[in-house]
Order: sequence, then structure tokens, then C-alpha cells
Amino acid sequence: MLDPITTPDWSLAETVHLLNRAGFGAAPAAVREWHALGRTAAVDRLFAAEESAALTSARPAWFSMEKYRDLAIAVRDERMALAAEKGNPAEQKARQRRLKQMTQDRQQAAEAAGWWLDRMYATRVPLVEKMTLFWHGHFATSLEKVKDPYLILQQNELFRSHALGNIRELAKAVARDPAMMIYLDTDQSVQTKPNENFAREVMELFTLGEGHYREQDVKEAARALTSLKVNRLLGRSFFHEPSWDDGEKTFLGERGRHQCDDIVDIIFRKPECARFLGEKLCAFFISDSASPELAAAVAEALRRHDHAVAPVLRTVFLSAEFYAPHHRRAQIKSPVQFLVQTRHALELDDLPRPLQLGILQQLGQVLFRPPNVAGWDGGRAWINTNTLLARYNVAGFLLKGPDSRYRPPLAMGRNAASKDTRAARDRLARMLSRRAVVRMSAMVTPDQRRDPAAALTALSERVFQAPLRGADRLPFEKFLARQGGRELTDAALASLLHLLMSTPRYQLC
Amino acid sequence: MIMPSDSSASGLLRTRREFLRSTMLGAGTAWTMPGFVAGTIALLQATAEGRPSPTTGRDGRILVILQLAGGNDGLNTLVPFADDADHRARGSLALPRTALLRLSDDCALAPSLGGLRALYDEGRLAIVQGVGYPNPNRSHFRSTEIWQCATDAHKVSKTGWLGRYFDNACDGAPNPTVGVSVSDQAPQSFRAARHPGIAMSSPELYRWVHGQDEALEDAFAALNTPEEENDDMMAGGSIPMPAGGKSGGPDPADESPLAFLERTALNTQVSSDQVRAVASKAGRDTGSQPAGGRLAQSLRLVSRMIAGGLPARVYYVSHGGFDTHNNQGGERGSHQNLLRQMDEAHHRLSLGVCDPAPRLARNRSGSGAGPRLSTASTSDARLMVGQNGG
Repeated sequence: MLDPITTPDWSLAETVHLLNRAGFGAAPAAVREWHALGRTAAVDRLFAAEESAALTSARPAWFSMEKYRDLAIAVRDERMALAAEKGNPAEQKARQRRLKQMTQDRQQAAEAAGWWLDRMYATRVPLVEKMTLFWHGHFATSLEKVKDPYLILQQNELFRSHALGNIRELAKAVARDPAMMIYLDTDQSVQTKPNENFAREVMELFTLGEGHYREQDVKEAARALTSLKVNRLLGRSFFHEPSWDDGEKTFLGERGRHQCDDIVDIIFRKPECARFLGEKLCAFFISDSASPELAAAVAEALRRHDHAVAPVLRTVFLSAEFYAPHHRRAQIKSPVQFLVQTRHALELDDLPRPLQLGILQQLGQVLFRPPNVAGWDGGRAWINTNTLLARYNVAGFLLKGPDSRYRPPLAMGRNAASKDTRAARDRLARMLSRRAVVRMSAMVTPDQRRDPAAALTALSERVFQAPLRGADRLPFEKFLARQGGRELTDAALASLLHLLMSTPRYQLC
Repeated sequence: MIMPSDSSASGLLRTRREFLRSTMLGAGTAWTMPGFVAGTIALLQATAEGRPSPTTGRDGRILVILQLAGGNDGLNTLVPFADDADHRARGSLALPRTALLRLSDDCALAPSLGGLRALYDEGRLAIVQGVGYPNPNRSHFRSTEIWQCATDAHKVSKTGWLGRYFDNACDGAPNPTVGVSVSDQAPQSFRAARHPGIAMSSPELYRWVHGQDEALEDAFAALNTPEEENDDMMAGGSIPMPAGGKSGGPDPADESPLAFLERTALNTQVSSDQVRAVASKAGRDTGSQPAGGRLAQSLRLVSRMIAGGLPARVYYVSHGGFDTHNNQGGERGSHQNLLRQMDEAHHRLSLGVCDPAPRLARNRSGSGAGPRLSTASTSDARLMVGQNGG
């Protein structure tokens, strides 16, 4: 079912489809650039391009192992000193220290999420960032429990470095990842009391799916995982021999003195693993209502390539099935996809991070805080009356700024009530009101302003990335007919764009 | 469905919505329109004419849920004061026994719950103790989810207990506002296959915000209302008609993503119209009540919606900040303050909402025409008996 497509040429519509699914979309000029490469070269570029040096080196300032270690040591020393003191003042100080830590954590979490979002927009390797997002949803880990932004960002880097690599190796690394270990209690697992949390989820949610292992397998896997610990000063994990249950175990039918890596190896020898992962990749990149045959074909490709992502996705992106009309414009954009793709459509190179984070919160997808270990449901789950209205209103704000009369949510990451935060909000509001958020002149020529039908064509192609025909043009034409003047003003164009984006159709990619 | 070839030809610029209202219900007979669209149109019509909605009718019972968010300290709300072991284990968290409001020989309410005590004496309060589930999960987050979805401790569910109620109880007359969460987000308990209710913190904001422009408004309405069946799926804007016509709603599994989006868009318009119509009918928030904090504001909103006849069966209000942990502060502390606010909230609701209009006062004695109200306070219980360490 994943036979290669044989037509040598490809249409702009197919280019758009590839860029939206393998990445976060692109502005019209970029789409034409990719289209000009030809299909095969474009797909090559998805895998071979290198990230810009600027993006590779940029990280939040606090994200360094040395700084993390020094801070962790200072915190530990302070805590020990306070424990030695007695009485209320000591408790007071301890509480204040905790509050300060919480505030800092929130702030850094916001910085980490904002950093990633901007990277998704500016990246030269969109497929890497899209797969990073996939892994974040798959190996779901939440700051809600982990609390430490350093560890979460470290996990994010792990996903990035393994984004297109071998899934089995990634799974082994995830089992040892400190954030995951804290999230699923691996770091509390000891010989006398093995914790089954990760052992269960690694099979149920990460590799095999329910029904393909037994309760006994969970117990045996838990025993094998008893050796891993987190060094909280360094933010690293290590193997702690004394707490390892080194006895014989039988896991998924294989006997041995299994350790963590062995468990992963055994799981990946099962064909169910490729089937489970294949289904997920199929749903994410092609369709969440794909036929069993299609999902099976992706699974087969995974098996053939020993669970390596790059060759499998390459096969998908060069297959006829991927470009089939019924798969196009049939996927509901996730909030992240909606935001980044809208930025491309409107060429919003510069968008304040608190606004971006606030938007994502409103639309129901907060980075680094998936709702539970099953990640985000995706698809239709993104849409209800409230989130749909939010998408429409956010589009209006991005287009018209304060003129839209919509008060956007802002996620500052700090204590919302503090004087500091109120001052920051005011600065942000002033910044947003001074600057036109979208440059209309970049999107519509003076001739098009004088010709409403042409303006509609230009802007609808930018927004829907497909021609708007016949009866579908009517509501927009009627609106334009009621605008006065010889040429369309910025405000009228902004309203037209707002209308185009306030449609069910705009939610699809 | 029969549509005019072009509205402008008749010289009238009618919104699609107006057209739907006027022609569809009048024309009757051979519709093969999905039942849910017909039902929704009926709701639009009812709202426009100010008739009571078909869902709650006059005897429909309304449930208002007050969630104590953050994990209420149950043992300091309903205190087993006769139990010495509890008192000892609680340390500085324990309340002085003389201040407690006794309900029976072995349990009492916290001092700030005078209103609840009065309700108990009137026989209008029931307390369900010891509600829990096996193998409690110590993660607060996960535990909340288990409560909201009413699942086993190790299962992850896509639907919440209220969502399942909405889907099963309200499918006959599909009603987008069957459940209303007074906040920017709906709780997990609202998650549903078909009818997840709405989340709204203010009626004025629960709408498409665009500045005042009628031309925009008309175009928006046209773009977010289902069109006639169209063979070309790419033209965007057709709701597939299920074979056999009017039977119930579409099976979510069969619905295309576009059709699902269009159905939601229609529900959004309907619920937004309903909410705003009701809000304007019930009058503006006159502010004659004291400000009273967010809980009081949310409840005033609930009252307005009920008084205005919004056909919601369940309202959900979250009263936050119960994760006080060790900083509860005894009798005059933050925990007791929160409980006091909750107590006042129950009191107001039990009076038949805030607005002391004669019609509603009659309701209290049972002879009025308003809806019958039940209120429930829920929370996820604190799991540790002793004080939380460091």
C-alpha cells in the first residue's frame, strides 16, 4: 500500500500537503521554493538539511549542566541548614525558599516552551521538530509532576537528537531519562518494592498496547528496572547495583537476568511493537482513520528497517497513498500546528512568547504538560465549542491586535498577581498596540486592493492553500461588496482574513 | 434540502440562519436531514421566541456542582471529633473541639459551615462519606483524573462521568449547552463522545469577537452553518447525510473531520446565541450583591443562566485554592475561609438563586414555576492524615 508514486511532477497542492504534515506549513514563497525542487529532492531535503547554527546553539540561559549542578548543591545546602535550625523562623524561611523555587520553575518552564515554539517556526529541519513533538506526545511526561524544567528540557533534547533515528535506542534512552524516571516513579523502585508504573506504561502505552503482555510480564519488567536512579544534583541517571534485582526473570517468554536494556530489546523483538508504533505514526502523519491495511503497511516498513524512523517516513512521503486526495485537508490541526502554521500563513516572524503560550493554553495544548501519560488524544478532541471560538478569536487578535476587541490570554510563567508580572503585562500590551501585527502590504498588491475578487483569490490561497471556488466564494464576496471605498483598506483586508480563518475549513491541514 | 439559488436575487440579504429558521420548520415533509440538525434548528427557534427549551421543560432538575479544587481537607470539613486517634495524628491541623458544629454523636461540621448545618437541620443536606476507590493514586493530578472520569485507578478514559451522562441522557434533543462549566475550560468530567457541553466564564465573551460589524457577522453566520448537501467534498461545507435520514445524530466514527467541525461550528453559534439571549433577558449583573470574590461571581452567573431559562442540566463551578496543605491556619485560617465561602455559596443557591424576585421565592416553598435545583460539592480528598512533611 505504500508503493512509490510514479508521476515525476507534483502539484503545489501536494507540496503544501507534504509541508503541512512533515512540518508546520510554510508561507507561499517558501512553498513555491520547495515545489521547484521536485518531489524527490524536496523529500531529501526534509531528511538531509541541517539546522541553522543560530538555532543549534541557542538555549535558555539557565539550561547548562554546570549551572544546574551548582544551583542544586546550593539548594541542598540551604535545606540542610534550615533543617538544623528549629522553630517558626526556620519553617518560614523554608516556605519562602519553596515559593521562590516554584516561581523560578514556572518562569523557566515558560521560557523552555517559548524557546521550543520559536524553534518550530524558524527551523530549517521542520521534520525533526515535528517528530520531536510526536515523541513528546508519545513518551508523555509532565512538568506537573516532574517540576524541574531543566530535566524536561533535557528530555526534549533527547527527543530531538533521536527524532529520526532508531526507536528501540530511543526507548532505552527514555527508560533512563531522569524526567521520565521521576514521572513514572522508576527512581523510587527498589529490589524489595519494585515500582510497576513505568514497566506497565512502557508496554501499554509506549510499545505494545493493551492485551499483548500479561500482568506477570509487568512484574518481571519492574524487577529488571530496579537498578535505575536519578542523581538530582547532576540531573542524570545511573545504574545502582545494590538495588538491582539480579535474579532470573521470564519476560514475554524470554528468560535471563534481565536489566533495563534487555527489557527493551525483548519488547522490540515482538511484531506487535512495530504494529503499535506503525499505527501511531500512520495516524500522526497520514490519517487517524486510516484503513488497517495502511497501518499494517507502515508497520511492515518499520519491521523491515528495524524500527528506524527515517527510512520509514521517506517511504511514506514518496508513496502514492500519502498524496491521495482523501488524506489531504483531512487532519484537524493540533493547537501547536494551528499556531505555527498560522504564523507561516501570516508571516509573523516575531510573536511575543507569552502570547503564544497563552494561545496554546486556551486551545488546550500546553507544551510539557500533557494531560496524562497517554499524551494528547488529538484529532477531534482538540475541538469543542470553546476551543473553536478560541481559534476564531485568536486569529482575529493576530490580525487586528487590540482593534479586534479580543483580550488575549497571556501566559507569563510568573506569579500572576505580582507587581513584576503586572508591569510585564503592561509592557507587552503597549508593545502589541504600537506595532501592526500583520503586514498587509506584504500579502496583497495595490492592484489587488482595487479588485476585491483578486484580493479574495490571493488571500484565500494564502489561508486555505487551495483555490476557493464557486459557491464557497459567496459569503466573502458579499462581505467585500459591503466595504466602501475604491480600494480595500488594511482593516477591510484584516477582516477578510479573519473571516477566512473563522471557518471550519481552516482547522484542517 | 431546498435552498434559493441566490438570496440576492430576491432582493433580500438574509442570513443563512434566518433562512433556515423560517423555511425548514415551515416546510416539513420529506426531509432527509440528520436529526441533530433539525433538533438544533428547533432550539434556535425556541430561543428566538423565548419559549422554554424542550430539554429541561418546567420540571427538569438542574444540578450545580461545586468542585473544591486542590484537594479539600475532608477531615477538617466533616470532623470525626470523637475519634482521638484522628486528633492526635492531625497535630497542628486539628480544629478545637468546642468550635465544631455537631451533627451527631461522632461527627461535626467545621465552624465556618453554619449555613450547611442549617440545611442539615432542615433535612435538605446529605453528606456522603468515605467515597474513594481502591489503590488510591498518590499523584494529585492523576487522582483528580480518576475522579473526573470515574474509572479504575489504572485505566485512562476518554470520557468523564458527566460527559457520559450528557451523551446518554440528552441525545434525543441535542443541546449544546446541556452542561455549562463556568470557567475558561471544561473539567475532565465533561469529556464526552458527542455532547461535551460548553465552558464559559462570561456570556459577553462567549462569542465570535470581531468588533461591531454587521457585514462580518452575517458572513460569519453563513460560513458556520451547514449548507445543502454537496457532492464535491473539496468545496468544503457539506454535512454528509446518513442513509435513512432522521435517525438521531451522526455516528462520530463515520463523520468526516470537516463534517464534525461544521457540526461543532453550528453548536457554537447556537450555544453562543442562547447564552447571550438568556444573559440579556435575565438582565445585567446589577451588582446589588456584594462582590464576594470569584465564587460568588460565578454563582451569580449560574443564577442568571437558570433564571433566564438556559436549557442546561448541569452547571460546574470550581472553587479554588484548597491545596493549602500545612498552611491551613486553624479556625481563622485560609482553609476555614474557603469553607466559609463555600458555605455562603450553598446558602445562596438553596434560596433559589441570588435574585430575590417573588417568582423565585415561591420556588423555595415549592409552588413556583422555576427549575428544581440540586447542589453538590465535590472534591478529591486529602490522602495523608498527618501533616505533610517539608
